[in-house]
Formats: sequence, C-alpha cells, structure tokens
Amino acid sequence: MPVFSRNQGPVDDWTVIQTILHAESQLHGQSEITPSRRAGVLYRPDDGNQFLSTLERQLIHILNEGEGATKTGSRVENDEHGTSWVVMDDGNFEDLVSSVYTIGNAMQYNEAGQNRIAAVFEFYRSGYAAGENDWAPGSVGYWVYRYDRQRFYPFVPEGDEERNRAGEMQISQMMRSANVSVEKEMEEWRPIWGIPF
Amino acid sequence: MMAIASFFVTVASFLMQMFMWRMMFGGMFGGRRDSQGGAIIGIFLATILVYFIGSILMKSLSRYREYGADHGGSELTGDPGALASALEKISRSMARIPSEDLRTLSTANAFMIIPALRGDSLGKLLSTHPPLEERVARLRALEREMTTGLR
Repeated sequence: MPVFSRNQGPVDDWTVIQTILHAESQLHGQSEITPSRRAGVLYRPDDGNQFLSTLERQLIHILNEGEGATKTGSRVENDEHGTSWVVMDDGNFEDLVSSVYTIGNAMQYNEAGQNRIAAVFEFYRSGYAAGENDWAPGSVGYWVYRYDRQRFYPFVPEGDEERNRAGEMQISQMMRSANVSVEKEMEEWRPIWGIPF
Repeated sequence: MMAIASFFVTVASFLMQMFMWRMMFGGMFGGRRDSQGGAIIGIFLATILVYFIGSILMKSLSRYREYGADHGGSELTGDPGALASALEKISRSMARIPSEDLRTLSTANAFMIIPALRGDSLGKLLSTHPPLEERVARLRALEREMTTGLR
C-alpha cells in the first residue's frame, strides 16, 4: 500500500521533494555523490494554457523576484519528444531544489498540474566503485521525481539508450538509506533519454 | 596475466596513435616516398591487430576472473547456493527496470522488439563481466559438485 496513494488525497509535492535535501547533505558528506548545478522540470506543453504558453517570459518573475527569490538561472527548452523542459541552474543545492518545486507548484496553480511529468536532478558519482558494473566515479546520474506517482527513482544513462541498472540499484539503496521516498515498483523507473542539460 | 595483457594493449594503443599522427601529418599531405613506407604500414597494421586481439583477450580474462571470484567466495563461505540466489535476485530486479521512455507512457510501444534483436554474441565478446545467468549456472553446478563431494 503506497503511503502517498492518490485515494488518500493529494500530498504536497514538497513533502516528498524536500527529502532529497537531507539525503544530499548526508550522501555528499559521505563522498558518495555530488550534485551538479543542474535540474529540470519536464512537462507537456499546451498552447491552450496561458501560463504554459507564456512560461519562458515569466520565469524571472517566478524564481528571481520577491519573497523567497533565488538566483537560479532558468530557460525553457523543447525536446524531440514534443515535450518541454524548464532547465534550471544553481550552485546552491537548496535553492535549486526550492526553484524546481516552485516551478512545479506554479504550474499546478495555473491549471497545468496534469502537464507536469517529472522533476530531474543531476548528480555526479564522487565515491569509489566496488565493481566494474557499479555507477563509476565521475559519471552522471539523475534522481527523477515523477509527479504522477510522487516518488523518486534513479536513472543512470549509459551510451546510446542503455542504462546502468546495477548502478541504479546501488543508488536506490543509497537513496533509501538517506530516507528518500523511492519508487518501489521498479517497472515505473522509466528512463528519460536525451535530457537537455 | 592481466598486467602482461594490459601492457601489450597499452603499448599497442600508444604506437597506434603515434602512427596515426604520422600518417595524418607526414603521409597524407604529400609525404616522403622512401623505402621505409611499406615497413611502416606493416608495423602499423600489426599494431592494430595486437591492439584488438589484446583488448579482447583482456576482457575475456576479466570475465574469467569474475568466475574465479565467485568460485573462491563460494569455497570460503561453503555455500555457492547463497551467492547464486543473491545473484538471481539482483538479476530479477534488474530485469524489472524498463527501457521505455517516460514520455511515451501513454502511447503504444512499438519498439519493444528492439532489445530482443540486439547483437548479443558481439556484446558477449566485448563485455568485461560475464552475464549473471552464466555466473548463476556455474554456481549452481559448483553447489551440486560440493554437495555430492560431501557424501
């Protein structure tokens, strides 16, 4: 029985997303991972939705002005799948996470909650690898938050549409041990090929 | 053994790069046509051969060592079955992780067939780790061997 089941009423995304703040400081402290400066919110564009269709112009207003403003850099990018990204850049991980949440939240308040697909955070492996199949030091991995399931899962792309499943299982153990809400149904650990950052 | 194999591969790859530079800057742009030309090409081809054969050998050695590690570990614990079932469990979990893009979730997947069509034998030759199924099979065989040996 999932804790964040939809039948139990909507859980605020922040409840789940903020768990990676603690996890990052713990795993970073153990030299397991280092966050890159980058993250993104993946969504389905909709010309009928005023907020989404003018999103790029509003980014500065949403992220960099007023109360709780951050210095997060942001831009909108379209990908080959007909979906779009708000790509964000911030050396302060807390601000980055906060900005990602803010974008998703703004979409929800502007009737585009259903357009949100995922929030993606980029990491580097900074620890050592015990075996060759591990997530190799220096390589890139992602923590993906799915808005429909309100859970995280790891994604380590490798080469041309291949993924490092052994490495992902290793990361998922790390995430669980750091109390991140990890998707238990591994069938739902869908890859996102060609992340534009 | 690994050190010897990797030594030759390293030397070969270094020589290969050297020859490539030579060919690019010496040969291609109206280079010298002296009597050494043929010999150099010959050495170059031999180097390429050593490099490729060496790296394939190195990879097979790496796979062999993995089996060796399984074997040694099982002898230490005296329970190859435990390692086999742990590997089987990992293998089963890994098989659950999909390849289908999150963005195609609502659309029918026409590409499901692709993983079945991948060139597996070439992949096997170039991989540094033996497939889990093969390691499990060997461990199971070892388990049988050890249990019958005890009788």
